[in-house]
Amino acid sequence: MISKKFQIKTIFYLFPALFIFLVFNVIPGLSSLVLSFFEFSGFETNLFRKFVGFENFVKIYHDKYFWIALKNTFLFVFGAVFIQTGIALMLSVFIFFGNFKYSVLVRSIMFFPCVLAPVSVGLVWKKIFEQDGVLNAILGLDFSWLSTISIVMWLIITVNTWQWIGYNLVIYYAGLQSLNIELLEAADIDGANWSQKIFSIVVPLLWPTTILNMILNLIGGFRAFDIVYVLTRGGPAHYSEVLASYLYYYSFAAGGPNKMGVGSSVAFIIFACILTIALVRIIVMRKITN
Amino acid sequence: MLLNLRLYRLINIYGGKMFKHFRNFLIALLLTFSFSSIVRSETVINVVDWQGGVDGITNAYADFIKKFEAENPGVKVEYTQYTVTTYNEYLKPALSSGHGPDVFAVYPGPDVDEVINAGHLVNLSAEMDDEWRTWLGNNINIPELGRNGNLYMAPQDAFTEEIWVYKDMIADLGFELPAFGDSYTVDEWVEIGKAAKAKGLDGLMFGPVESWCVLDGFANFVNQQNADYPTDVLGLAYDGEISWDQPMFRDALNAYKTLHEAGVWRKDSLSMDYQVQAWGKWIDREGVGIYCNGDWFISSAPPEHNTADSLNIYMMSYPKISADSPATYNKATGTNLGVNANSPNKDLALAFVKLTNSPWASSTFAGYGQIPANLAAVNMDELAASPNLLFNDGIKMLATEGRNTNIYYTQAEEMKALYDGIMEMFLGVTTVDEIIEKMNKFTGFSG
Repeated sequence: MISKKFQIKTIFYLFPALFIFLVFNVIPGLSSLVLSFFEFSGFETNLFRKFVGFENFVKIYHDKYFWIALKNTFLFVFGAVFIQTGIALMLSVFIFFGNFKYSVLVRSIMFFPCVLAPVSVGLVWKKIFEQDGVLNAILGLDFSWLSTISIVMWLIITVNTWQWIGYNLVIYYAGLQSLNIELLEAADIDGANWSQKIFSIVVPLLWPTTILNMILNLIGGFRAFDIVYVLTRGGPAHYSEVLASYLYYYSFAAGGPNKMGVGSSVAFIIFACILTIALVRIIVMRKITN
Repeated sequence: MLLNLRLYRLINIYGGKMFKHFRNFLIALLLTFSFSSIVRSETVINVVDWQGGVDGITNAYADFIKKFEAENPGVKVEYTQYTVTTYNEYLKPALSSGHGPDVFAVYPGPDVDEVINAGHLVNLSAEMDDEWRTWLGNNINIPELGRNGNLYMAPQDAFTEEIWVYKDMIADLGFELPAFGDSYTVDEWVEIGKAAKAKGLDGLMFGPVESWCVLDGFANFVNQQNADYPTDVLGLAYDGEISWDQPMFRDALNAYKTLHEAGVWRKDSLSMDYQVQAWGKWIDREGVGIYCNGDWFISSAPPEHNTADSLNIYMMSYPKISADSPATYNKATGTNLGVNANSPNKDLALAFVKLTNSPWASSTFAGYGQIPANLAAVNMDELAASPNLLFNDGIKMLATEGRNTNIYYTQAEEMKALYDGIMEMFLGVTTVDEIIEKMNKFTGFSG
């Protein structure tokens, strides 16, 4: 039986974290949700002065750039969840089982971009992709990479993958180190070749790690802002906008529309997307477990 | 259960110590706050603007603060600068919390209306004395500074928005500079662009990611063709009172289309901002000229091209639609300061803003190469004879006769629609006709 004193103490120790969570996450989140039904420029002291119902949502529904931002967000999330996770899995397996001399160094180099600020990463890559940048100098081209709407999002995804792949790789590497090596030895005895060992033993055993990486990348993908903002500011002409950068544009951008109410409705849509995916994941996982 | 018991023991063993540490920490925190509030007995006036990186403003304000603090013992002025692009990230939460800075700048345009309507700005017309009124002169009537005949913002610096070119590069390409106050036509810029490209340069550096770089030039193009000048036709079009399907709007769009398609600026410009990338590349002499620059950068101009003996930078207005287009300039005030209506130190805040409008402050601005807004209060001849040759040209340009184009509008959504349309035209995904049609629809022009 847990004593009352213990319960009070527990609540007491939980209180600071709970307080911070409430003040910095729950209350602003709820305020933002409520704000999406109001006209608010961001300057008014009375946030809830003018109720406009679903007008802000109707506005973004009719805004073609919102749909571009939504499409780009899903593309970005797809890149982060599948491409980034997939490459990280391949690399980690290659480094772990390759057992070559400088694998520690390779891992360190691959992890290095993760510790850099996305802003500095964005600035460096912007220099690479500029018309008079490094890439064109190497290829001998005069191509405008970041101003070509058909490829700009893929460039952003590439940069994001380059930066965060090391993070997924380290998680995979930890997963690989905890694998039961006896299973692989048994497979060896049974005469399994390397592809059978990888695809029939290693990859299935790494499934929980893969799920973890995918979820981390999914959440990060929906929240992506800095890399987009630094590389293109959502341009050219909003064609590389993601939901978070479009939210910022509507709410704060100099020379922008200055509508935080509309920005809040975009925030609500991001929240709804993440919530839906989280619920789907819970349901699917529950079914798989059962 | 076992886990709970272990946790229970753990908390009982370490919890007592932790509790004491936590308690001591709280006491120390409380003592620190009480002590700092006792020590900080001076009155602090917070002044905030977006002029990060503009040396002339920074240096002038350092002098204003020094003088103000000397004249008001016990008062400290804390001046914070943000960059243009990040300023509203600070200002919006600060004002909506009801505890914003005592003195602050507001972006001219839609923001001024929003901030006035939210009741954050003191009506300066009601507060200023005769001396201040005299210093401001005609500036009291500048539309971007007030609403409904009342002045809410005190102007600080003035500028002509224009194009700067390197004289030696123009000469190298085999072109002659236009007479001072005149400018090249769009076609001439196309030729300069071609010649520059042949030498691996850009005709113009352009940073259209900042929307005003596109919209202000557009306004100038329109006004060159404005048969009803001084009627603000663009303002009427934004309001849906006149049709966009008119030659002056078409010509303005076509001027942009021609400049872009001819490669006067690089295609990559569409992802470039003006203040960092375009400016930086112009400083590195990758382009002959810089589009949509302004006198506010006089103090940041490359010093080797603006010495006491020679000036290698030449100012001119936006490209002319045709050779007979009238001289048309974008002249305006830059940073404008307002006083927070909720400031506990309103009188001191007003006194500081008044100081920034004084003839002494205007001379101080000028001394640092920043064109003061209150030119009426200073001796123009004296100003135009400073050792800063670029500054002298800026003053001369501001005094040049010609049409003046309004660049500050309040129709945020309509401006966004036009900007998006022009950017899409640059990308080749929309046409001039489609922009015209869209603008008529968007602004509600009913014919």
